[in-house]
Order: sequence, then C-alpha cells, then structure tokens
Amino acid sequence: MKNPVCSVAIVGGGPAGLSAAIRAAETGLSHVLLEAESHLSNTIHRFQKGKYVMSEPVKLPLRSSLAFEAGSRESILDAWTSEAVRLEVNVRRNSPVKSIAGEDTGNFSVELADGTTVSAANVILALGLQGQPNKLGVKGEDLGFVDYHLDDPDDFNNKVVVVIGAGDSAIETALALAEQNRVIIVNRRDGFHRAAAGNRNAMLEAIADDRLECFYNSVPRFIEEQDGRARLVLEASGETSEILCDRIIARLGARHPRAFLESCGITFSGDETTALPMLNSQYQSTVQGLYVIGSLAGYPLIKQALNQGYEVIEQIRGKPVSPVEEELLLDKFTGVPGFATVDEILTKVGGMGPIFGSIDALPLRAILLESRILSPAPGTAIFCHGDYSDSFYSILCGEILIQLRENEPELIVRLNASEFFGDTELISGRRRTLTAIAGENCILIETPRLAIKKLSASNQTVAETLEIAAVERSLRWHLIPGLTENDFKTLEDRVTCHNYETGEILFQEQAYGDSIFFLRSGAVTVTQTMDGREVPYRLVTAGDYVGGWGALAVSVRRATACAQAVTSTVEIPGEDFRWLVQQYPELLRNVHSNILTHHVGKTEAAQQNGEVISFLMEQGLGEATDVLLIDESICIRCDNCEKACANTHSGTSRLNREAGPTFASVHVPTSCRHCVQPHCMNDCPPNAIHRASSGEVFIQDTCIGCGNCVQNCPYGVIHLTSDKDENKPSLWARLLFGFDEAAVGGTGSGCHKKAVKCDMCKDLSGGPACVSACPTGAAFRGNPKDILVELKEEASCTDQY
Amino acid sequence: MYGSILSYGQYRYLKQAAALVLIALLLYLSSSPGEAPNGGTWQGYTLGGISAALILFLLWFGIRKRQYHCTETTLFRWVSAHVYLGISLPVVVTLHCGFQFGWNVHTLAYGLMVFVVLSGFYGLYAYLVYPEALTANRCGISRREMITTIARLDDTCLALAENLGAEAHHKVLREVVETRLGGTLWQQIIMGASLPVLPLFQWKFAGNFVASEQAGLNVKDQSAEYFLRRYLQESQNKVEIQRVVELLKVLNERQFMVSRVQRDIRYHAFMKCWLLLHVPISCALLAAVMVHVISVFFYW
Repeated sequence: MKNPVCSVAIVGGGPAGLSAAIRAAETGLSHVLLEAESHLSNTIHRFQKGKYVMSEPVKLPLRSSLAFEAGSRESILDAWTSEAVRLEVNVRRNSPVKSIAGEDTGNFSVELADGTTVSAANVILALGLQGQPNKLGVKGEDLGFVDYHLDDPDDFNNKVVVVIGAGDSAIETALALAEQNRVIIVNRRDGFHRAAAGNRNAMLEAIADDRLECFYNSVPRFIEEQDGRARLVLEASGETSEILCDRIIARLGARHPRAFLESCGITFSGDETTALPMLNSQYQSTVQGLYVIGSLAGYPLIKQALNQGYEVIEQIRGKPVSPVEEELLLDKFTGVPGFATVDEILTKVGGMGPIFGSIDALPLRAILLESRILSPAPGTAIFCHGDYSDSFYSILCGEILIQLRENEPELIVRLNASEFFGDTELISGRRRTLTAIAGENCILIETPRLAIKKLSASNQTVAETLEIAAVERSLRWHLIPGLTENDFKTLEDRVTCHNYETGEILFQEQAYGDSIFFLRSGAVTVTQTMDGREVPYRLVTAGDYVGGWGALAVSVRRATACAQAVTSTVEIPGEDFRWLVQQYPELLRNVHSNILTHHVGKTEAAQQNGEVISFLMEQGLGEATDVLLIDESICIRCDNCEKACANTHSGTSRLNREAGPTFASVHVPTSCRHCVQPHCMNDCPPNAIHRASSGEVFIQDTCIGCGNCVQNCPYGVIHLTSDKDENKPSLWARLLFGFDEAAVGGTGSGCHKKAVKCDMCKDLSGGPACVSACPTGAAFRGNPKDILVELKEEASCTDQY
Repeated sequence: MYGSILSYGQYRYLKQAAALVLIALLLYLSSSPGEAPNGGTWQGYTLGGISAALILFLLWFGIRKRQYHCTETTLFRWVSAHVYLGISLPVVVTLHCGFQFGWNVHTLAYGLMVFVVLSGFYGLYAYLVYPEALTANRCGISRREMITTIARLDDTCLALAENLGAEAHHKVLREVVETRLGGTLWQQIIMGASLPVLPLFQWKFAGNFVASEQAGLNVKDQSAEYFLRRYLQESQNKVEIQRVVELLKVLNERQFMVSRVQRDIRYHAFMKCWLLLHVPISCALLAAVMVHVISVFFYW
C-alpha cells in the first residue's frame, strides 16, 4: 500500500522530531511523524517519574514553536502532547521505520515495519541515539511478560522479576527493582566486566548481601506462559534450569542507528564509534533532502534539538533561517576585524591549518561555539608553568612565545598564525610545563579540552596532526629543550609511540632493554624485586621518563616499569639516547641526578613502604592528581571532615569517610581524586565539568542531573542530590541542643537533583575544609607523587634507626 | 603526616603553655612577703584575668570547631593549643586563688574547672590510644562488613543446626536472636567486655548483666556451645560429630566477629562518652566563673 506524497516525513517523535512536526503543522506543510512507540517523546517518557528536566544551555535562545521550560517530566510530556493534539500533528504511532529508499529530493520511500510505505519529498531523521533495543532472540521474546525497558520500578511490588543482561542498564534496573521485589539477574558471563565500576561494585555487594540472586554463565533458551506467570528456561553453567516469575526485563543494549543511516546512503565522518554523520550547515546529510537532527547529529541537549527541528522545516519550506547558534557565534567574534559574517568566520578559521581546515562547516561551527576568542595584550601570559589548565589554543593571528623552562627565559620557541599550542597538557592532563606569552596583535581561539578531544576522536586528520606535533614537542620542548631541528630530524624516524593499558608492563626487571620511555600521558610505577616480592618505589608521571639507567649502561633493567593508568609513551632507542646525551650534556646530568635521587636500598622499611605504595596504586592513585588520605592510627572517627564538607557545600557531604579500603592504617575514603584525565568529563551533555586552574575538577551549576558522570566515575565519588541548606540548624541549635549536620542527603521528592562531587573547596582560600576541620591531623590531601616521596622519606628515617 | 596532637609544630603550644606557667609562678612568687598570696592582690587579679581569658579561649574551641568555612588555620592546631593551655589552666587558677578554698561559689568554679580538665585528660588519653586500637581491631574491614559477615554466619549456623534436631536449632536460634550490638551508651561500653576496672564485682557481660560467677555458669549452661560440646561427648554417630564440629567452628567464628563489632562499638563509645561531661560542665564552669567574677567585683 502506498500513501500519497507528503512534503516531509519525520522519523522519530522525540524533541527534535516533534518540534519539526509542530512547525510543519503550524505552517500547513504536509507531513507525517513516524514514531516507533505508542507514545511521543519516548526518551523523556522513560525518565524516572517526577524527574526534573533541565533546559540547558540557558544562554541558547529557544526558537521552536514547541514551548520548553525546565520542569518535571510529566509537565513537559503533557504540554508537548496537548500541543501536538491542538495543532493536529499527523502522527503515526507504533510505526518503526524499516528502510528509506531514494536518493534525491522528492523521491523518498519510507518503508515501515508493518509493510506500508510512506512517500515524502524530504525526510528528517530524528531517531535519537537509543536505537532499537536488542531482543532476546528466543521463543517467547515478545510475550506480554517480557519488557525491554523499565518505566518505573515502583510499578512492581512483591513480584518475582528476572532481569537479563550484565551491562549498566541491567544492573540499574535490577538494583532499583530489588528494593521491593525478588530479583534474579541472568548473566551470560561469569562477571559484570562491561559495567562501570560503581555499578559493578553495587551489584556484587547486593549479591553478597542476598538482596539479589544471580545466574552466571547462563543463557535463556525459551519463555512460555504457565498458570498466568512466565516460565523462563535457561542453560546455567551447562545445566538446564527454570525460573517461574511475574516479569522478565531484558536489558541487552540497543542497535546503534549508524547502520540504518548508512543503509539510507548517509556518510559518516570516520569509522570510529564516536563519528558523526556528515551534515551541511542546514543539517542536510550527504543525501539531498535527507536531514539528520538531534542527538544523532551530535546535539544531545533538548533545546538544541527543538531549535533544529524548527530550522529544518523552515529550510524545507524555502524560507531558511540562519541557525540560532550563528548569532552566538557572531557575538564571539565581535570586534575581531575581518570576521563580520558567519561565512567569513567559517572560511577564515577553516583555512587556518590542519586542525580546523579538516572539519566540515557544521562541526566547525559547533566547536567555535564552545570556544572563546582571546585578544591578549602583548606580554600577557596565556598560561604559566605549573598552571592547571587544559584548553587548546589556535593562533588566529599574531605571535606566541613559548618559554620552555621556568628558570631560563631565553629558551623560547616562537609560534605564528595557524599554529597551535596547549596540546601537550591536553594529552597528559597534568599541569602546564611551559609558559605561553602573547606577542604583538595576537588573537587566539581557546577551545575546551573536551571539544578538541571529541574532534580528534572523530576526525583522523586532526588526530594525526596532534600526534605528529606531540612527538616533536615531547622531544624538543620537554625531554631536551633546545634540541635542534636537524637533530630531531635524525631521531624522528627512530622513535616509536606506544600506548599501554593500566597494568601493562613497559619493561621487566632483569630483561635486556636498551631504550628509554618518555611519558606523554599516564603514570608508571617503578618496582624492584626484594625477597621475591615486587616493591614499588617510584611513581613516574607524564613529562618524565623511565629506563635511563638501562639505556646508559647498556645492561639489563634494574627495575620493572608498570603502567598505573592508560599511558602513552615515546620510546627512544638506547643507541640514539646515548648519542643524545653526548650532544646534550644536560640530559646526562639529568639522568645521573634521577638515578641518585630515586635509588632505594633493599631494606625492610623500603619493603613495607612498597606495600603501602602498592595498595595506593590499587586504589587508582596512579591517575590521581590530588587524593584525600586518612591516617587511621590517629583518626578519632568524629566525622568532622564530613560535617565540614556538608557545611561548605549546601548541606551535602561530597566525602564518605567510613567507606573505602584501609591498609596499614592508611585509609582511602570515598572522595574525588581529581584524575589526570577525569572519567566524569567524558560524557557530560551540558559540558558542566571543568578543571580549575589550580587543578580541582568541579561541576558547574549547569549540570542537568543526567547521571552520566555518576556512572563514569570508577571510584563512586559522584552522586546526585539536591541542596538542603534551608533546613540547616543554627550554630547555637547545634551547639546547645545537639542538632547535627546530616552528611549525605537531599533526596526529597520533587527536588532538582544535580551531580555533586568534591571540588577541593576551591572557593575557600585556606584549602579543603575536610583537612582543616580534622582535629587530630589525620586527614591529608596531596599529590600522589608527593605522598610517595614523603612515604619514602619516612621509610628512610625508619632505616636510620 | 602531620604528627600527633601533642607534637604539633615541634611542641609549639607545650612551650607556650610552659612559658605561661612560668610567668604565673613568677607573679605568684612576687607577692609581698607579709601578705599571703590570694586573688585580691594585684598579682591575684592579673592571674585571675589570665585564667578568665584562658577559660574563654578554651571554650571558644566549641565555636571554632563548627566554623567550617575558616580553613586558614587548621582545627588540629587549635586542638593542640586547647590541650596544652587546658593543662596549664589548673596551675594558673591555683596560683590565682593562692590555695585558698572554702564552701563557696569560688571554690565551686575551681572544682568545676578541675573536673573539666580531668575529663579533658581522659579525652586526650582516648584520642591517643583508641584510634590505633580501633584500626587494629578492624583489620582493614568496615563495621558494616563485619555485621554482614555475622548475618551470613547466622544463616550458616542455623542451616547447620537444622540437621542436628530441634533443641540444637533452638539453642543456636536463641544465641542468634539474643545477640545484641550497640544500644545505650552504657550498653555500648559494657557489652561483651570483661571489666578489669571493676575487679571487686567480677562482672562478666554476655548480653545481660550477670552479677555472680554462679549466674555466669547458668548462662554457659544455656549457651549453644555448651550444649553442642555435651552433644559431642554423647554422640556416637560420625556424621553427626562432623556436623557438630563444623557448627562449633562456625559458632566460634561468629562469636569472634561479634566480639570484634562489640569492641569496635566500645572504642567508639570510649572516644565519645567523655564529651557528655566535658562540654556541659564547661558551660557550668562558665556560669560559675561569671558568678565568681561578679560577686568578687560586687564585694570589692
């Protein structure tokens, strides 16, 4: 059956698709909105009941005909549904799209799952990123007892529920249901390796506490009805078992819509999983008449999606409007001569060199929107040696002077227009090791770390450009400042780059190894064997090198180097290194000084110290920049640290003193480690997580409470909560009547929950409140490298006795 | 990493408190030979002023402890000063009063001060001793983990006892049900503890007070372990013996864990209990000092 041709078929009834359909209905454009589910806005529909939906970014104006203000899930859904009814939007529910054929405007055939076809002149794909959930693939997978998502755990009470899957969503579903039901989780594997560490630990704890039952190494065989209940038959560790239950919820992930988009003829920017469909500035894909908007196009926020729906319909109607973001872009370039129009901006920035030159118009616009334009006065320091900034800078015009050594101002490299800097710390995540000073008429584009990381992950040219620059700068700027271009050319083809996962060995003690490893990112522990045990004695971080002794002495390695975080290195062969130390005597002095400083005696104190270091490394200190430790031999368990934290952070403590492991009286409480490459930053839709110039990783008020950072943090130090300052008892009430500050809370219903974590009290001049409020000096915060040095000194003192 | 409360800043506050005591002694010794030192001389008033200032400074600690936004100086430093200046207080006050005591409000203030300082001494002892004892008792696991282990062992015990008949199951169940952890402050302190500090009474506590050795034996008679050992002696069945041995092993493990949790709770209570006297009596001291000062000036 074939329907008459309409102007536009919109696939997906989420914010982007619905906004497009509303605009089409409002302007009388013939349209059809194809929604796979029985209701509109499925993603928001699946939010927890009462969830507060944020309207970030606040500064972005809303252009859509669909009203949107921050509010509860229900109020937003009700408003949107009634608006769709009022404007008589032509919606076809329960209509998943099977394929889209046609390669030019006016000739698209959209085939639906029920076999019917919709013909449309244009197609807007607003599918979102969730895709279609993977099904069980066994008999009975579509029975009424089987669901592939969980709307509200409160819908189930005193039921027997089987959750199938071992990923984050399966774990969250199982844990939420386990509060008032008997829950059995069926796991195909022997563990929960795929899940985030926080979820994995919570699940293992729940299984250990018998709050949940788990079938490991189990595969469902079939499902059938028995006496009004579901009978699940599965093969568990080679034996057939069966479970009689009320509901089966399978959380097996979803098929990413990329394959579907490619089947429609749309090209992606690369092969990486993070690659985006290639679109022009009006969101049109490589197939004319086929548009992609919303999170599928790389715009995860609701307001962006709503605006894009409106703009695409206007484009199709022949009344194109410039995207609302363009006004913000023009604002950024106000006062910069020669950048008066968006086209001028995109053309000139696009012609700047390999980084921006390799990006299409749409992602370029997006990246510029996230960037800042700086016009520093000559002599201004953009960043200084020791600063904790990780922005990436591109020189639009003028000159930048890079001072390679803090104490040698004459050792300078000059960078000109189209060149970039700040990339080293982008990779290493550590403090600046250089100073950048603005020259004459300097205009810079400052791009945030996350934006440039996303770009390099999705654009091969950008990634290669950064990699080539990183190798040269590792050698010429960091390892051997002053290395001549000719000498570098000699080395260029001899050095090799390596990447190591946590726990991988760079080189082994007693093995022959004739090379040094310069660390571009990550951290490495150096261990020696003492009485048959591996004893770590040194932590080497990005910007430093290991293996100098072996390379100089042309002998076997004296120690083992093991990566403690994801680490990337530049390896210089021993022969070349020996040649380098002859050419650059300062390098030789540096190697000698390193050997003398870090030499460690094979003593009992060193062994005990090594055990503590091993324990700390197991707790992830290798990737930390600042960690809170508690000396339990003097901690009086008064929890004043937690109370101080709660009092200085709107009533909610970011630290859990009691939680966390202890070894030899060194306790690692649950508190942020301000990681070198913060996991929490990886997937933050409103880009609300930043690192302050003094190193603190903090969450801004623009957090939308999506919980991604909570999931991504392997140390479980972020939680969602709401402010509760209003109920805080007064000082006298606390003092005289014993009213106390609760530690963690703010869970009242209807509260606007946001992610919170330790910010090291960056706004208090005296430093972290937890440390200064400790009455016995048991709480200590510091850089792991310094802590290790202090431990080593303490061990040396013990040796002297 | 910073050293202890006592050694803060290379014993900075010990030195300052010692200097204060020395000044007080010099003031005391500078009294006129013909006049007995007392609070009414200029030296007495000076020492009284120093004492009052010291008391106010020491009491201010309660406020400072809760000023969490003040991170410029650490609370650790305040505690060190509080300890040493608190120790110097009885010396300065005694010199202020010139060893003159009586049944009046002045001596009441003195008595309260001594009590507060003595309770502070206990607090210092608790803070120096119990954290390490607590850490050693924990062995790197949290109280929650210990309680979870007890719950798991409870299930194992009951499952094993089920195979040994109704009476064995009843005995084990009673032991499980009657196990008490925590409670009032007094219960937290005495639960599961042998109290050598009360040797006259020879009290032992096993969940309830038992006032005599005889009563203690009665409790033992009713204990699951006593019953199982008797069962072991009487039984001839090898399988049963094996089960009983296994159950005894788990019961012992459980008892060990219960004792650890009780010790953990006790140590925490030891570190907290003294504050219940130290703080309110400090407030009473403040009131008594105010009465003392007002009355002195009234009769001046």
